[in-house]
Amino acid sequence: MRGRLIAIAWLVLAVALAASFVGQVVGARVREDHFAQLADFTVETDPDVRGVLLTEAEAVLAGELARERPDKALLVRAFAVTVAKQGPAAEAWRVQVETRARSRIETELARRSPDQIVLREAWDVLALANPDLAPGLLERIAAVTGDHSARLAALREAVVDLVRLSGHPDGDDRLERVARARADLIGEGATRMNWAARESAPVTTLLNAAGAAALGHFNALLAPYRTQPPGERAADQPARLRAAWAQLKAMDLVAGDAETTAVYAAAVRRDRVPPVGVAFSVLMTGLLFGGLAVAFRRVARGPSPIDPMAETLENVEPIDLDTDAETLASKGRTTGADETHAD
Amino acid sequence: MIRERWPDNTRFIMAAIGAAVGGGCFTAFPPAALAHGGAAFLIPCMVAIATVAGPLLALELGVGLCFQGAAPESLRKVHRRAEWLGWWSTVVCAVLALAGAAAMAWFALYAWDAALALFGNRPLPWGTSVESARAHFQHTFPDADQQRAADALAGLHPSGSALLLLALVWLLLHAGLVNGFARIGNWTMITFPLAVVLLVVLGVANLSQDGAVDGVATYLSPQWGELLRLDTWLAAYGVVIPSLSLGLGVFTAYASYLNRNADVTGVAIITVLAGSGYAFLAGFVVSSAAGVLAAASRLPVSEVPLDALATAFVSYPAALANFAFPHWVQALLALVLFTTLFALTLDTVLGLLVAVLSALADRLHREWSDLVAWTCVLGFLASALFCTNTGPRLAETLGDLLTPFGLALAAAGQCLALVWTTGADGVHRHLNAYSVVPVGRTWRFMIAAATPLALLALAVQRAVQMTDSAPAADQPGWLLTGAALTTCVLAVLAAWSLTVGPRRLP
Repeated sequence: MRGRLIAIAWLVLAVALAASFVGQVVGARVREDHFAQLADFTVETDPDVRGVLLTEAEAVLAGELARERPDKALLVRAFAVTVAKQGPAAEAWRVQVETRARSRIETELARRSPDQIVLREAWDVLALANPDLAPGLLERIAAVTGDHSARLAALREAVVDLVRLSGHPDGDDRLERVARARADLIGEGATRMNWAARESAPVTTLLNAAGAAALGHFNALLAPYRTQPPGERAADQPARLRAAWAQLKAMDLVAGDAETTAVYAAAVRRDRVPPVGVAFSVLMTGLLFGGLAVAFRRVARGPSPIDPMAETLENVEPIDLDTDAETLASKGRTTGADETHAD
Repeated sequence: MIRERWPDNTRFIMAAIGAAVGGGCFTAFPPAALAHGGAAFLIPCMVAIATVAGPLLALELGVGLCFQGAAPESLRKVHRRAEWLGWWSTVVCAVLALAGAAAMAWFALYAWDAALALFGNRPLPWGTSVESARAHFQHTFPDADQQRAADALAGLHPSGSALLLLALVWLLLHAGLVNGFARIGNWTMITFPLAVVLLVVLGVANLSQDGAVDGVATYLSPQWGELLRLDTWLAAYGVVIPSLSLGLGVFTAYASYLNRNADVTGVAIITVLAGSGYAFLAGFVVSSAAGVLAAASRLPVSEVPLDALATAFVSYPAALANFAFPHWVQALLALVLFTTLFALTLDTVLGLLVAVLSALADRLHREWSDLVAWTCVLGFLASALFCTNTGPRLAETLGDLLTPFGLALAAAGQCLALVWTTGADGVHRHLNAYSVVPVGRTWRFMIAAATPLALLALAVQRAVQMTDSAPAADQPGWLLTGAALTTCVLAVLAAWSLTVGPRRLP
């Protein structure tokens, strides 16, 4: 009886958890519906529909502002509709949103380790409500994660080197260095650069320069494939191109338009499997299928006859377990001692 | 109660291989190999096979053989408080079986399209480019490619033709299961060899096409640097374990229908090697198809989309449409592709359902045929969810959550429970008493340390990945983490609740 009650209690809890999850999903769907509805708003919207949408937007905005942590994306969208589109209560909403967002930023900045996502959300909303205040607060948020001048200098130096050696064989190492320095600068983590610092002008400029240098090196490597006949290209050029492409991917850069991709694809295309690949496949085939053949043979042969004098006899006693299993099939057709203990 | 037996060793071995070699060997391993260093990825895979897959498979088979029950019953015999671990993996099995049955319906749907093109001598309906194949997939399963988890559950619209095919799939599964193990064995004696032959046909056809060698070269060119990355090693373990259907109790259930003096370590070796060998061959086939598509689309092979869904429904079908063959040959090859995937998934789903049915049979002591009938009816109703517009994405998300938080944690828990109690000693002695290949201290070390460690690492890595990637994918982190935790907790709670209810005597 007690066991049944426990089971029921657990099942109720499980159902409650499932319901909670479904509730969250439904909530997310409602939010999406709000987005879809508000996104329909344009200056050409029919005045009747416009009125309905504005009412909806104001209701959403009021609801979001009352929450401890507003849904940023929805708030921005609702705010955009009510304020940017010159709704009747635009100014009042603007002031409310600005006050709320600013207070949120100040609260987070006062904490030892501010939540960057909350800061980002609040700053986005503030930038919409009062664009004049936004740059000053952005600098303060950027300063939270400390001084990045050493990392910036490292990336700058790597970029200068790469630009100097663009297309040169030594440029491959420099490209790798740029990718490493870039990851070191903007990688995830509390001690690294936060989103605000990343969006500051000097960093954006340097990141753009790094991207341009990387693409420059890649295009320099690709140039022979656009201009020279096949015989005049270096033999190691495809391998260098592949490495450069991998670095571009690591830096989230797109190599260029479809034509550039097609030239690259043709450049790195292989018409035969490298010898190491052939050796590998032979080795794997031997290991897997040779092993399979040996195992099949062993199983077909059955176990070796048991030597009654062997010291290991005591180790081959099966465990005596309480089992109610009985055999259904006839002895001759079963998988058992008769088959596996061949003499 | 009389326990049924496998009719002979050959059928048992083929059924075990069929259960181990699932669609994952075709759609998960080759893309992982192409993404993680080509041939170099085979090294961590072999290590994963030696350290986890082989020992875990021998353990699963040994537990079923020794204790003569499915995972929950066997673990109850080990220790009454360990039973819920068995039910945990059984719950995961049930969910994966539902998704697997739905996948069979999707393959059948695409095979039907291919058959229409074959008999009408028309071009394949999904076109020759990645974009057109993706659009066809979107048309078949509207909104199925959306990224947000919330969208995967919202706005469900059932697909009529997929539902019809799903009903046929469950009828097929019922027919396979209702007459017990003789028929399961007979079916896998046909389906697995068929899947091998069809794979070879696809490989030969691929290699005759322009660009195929480039794909194979990408697959076989080792990038040794990848071996220094932890992600590569975890990816290998993450591919090998679910691709071979390990940790789910399937092999425990299968082995529980053998006489207790049967040999299973040899079967474990054969099964692991056959599964790995099939996946290795599938790597040639998928990579060569990717090469053909890359050449036709003027893309590098690395840019061909190759996740599990994309391989089966976008890239490979689009590659076939680019083959320099008449339309009817292209359609025939598409039919071969989806028949292969269907056959592979059928064997795996049969295994998953046997694990569920055996657990229920051990617990409820009902007639097997009644259990099969009820399971198939309920299974059809539940898996209808996967035949809606968002079904494929939902199945992918569930698989993504259940592998680390269901399968890996349950299997790790079972290993530790067996090692903690005397269960592992019993299995060890029993295996060595009757098997052609004895297991020793290395095996004990693997199941006590290496296997649980690797499985726990998989779960931790996935949790970290989800937390990191959630903001980038525009998904609220709590939603995904909550979904993962809810999945995990629900599986555990359902498992536990199954252990404490009244027990019907045989």
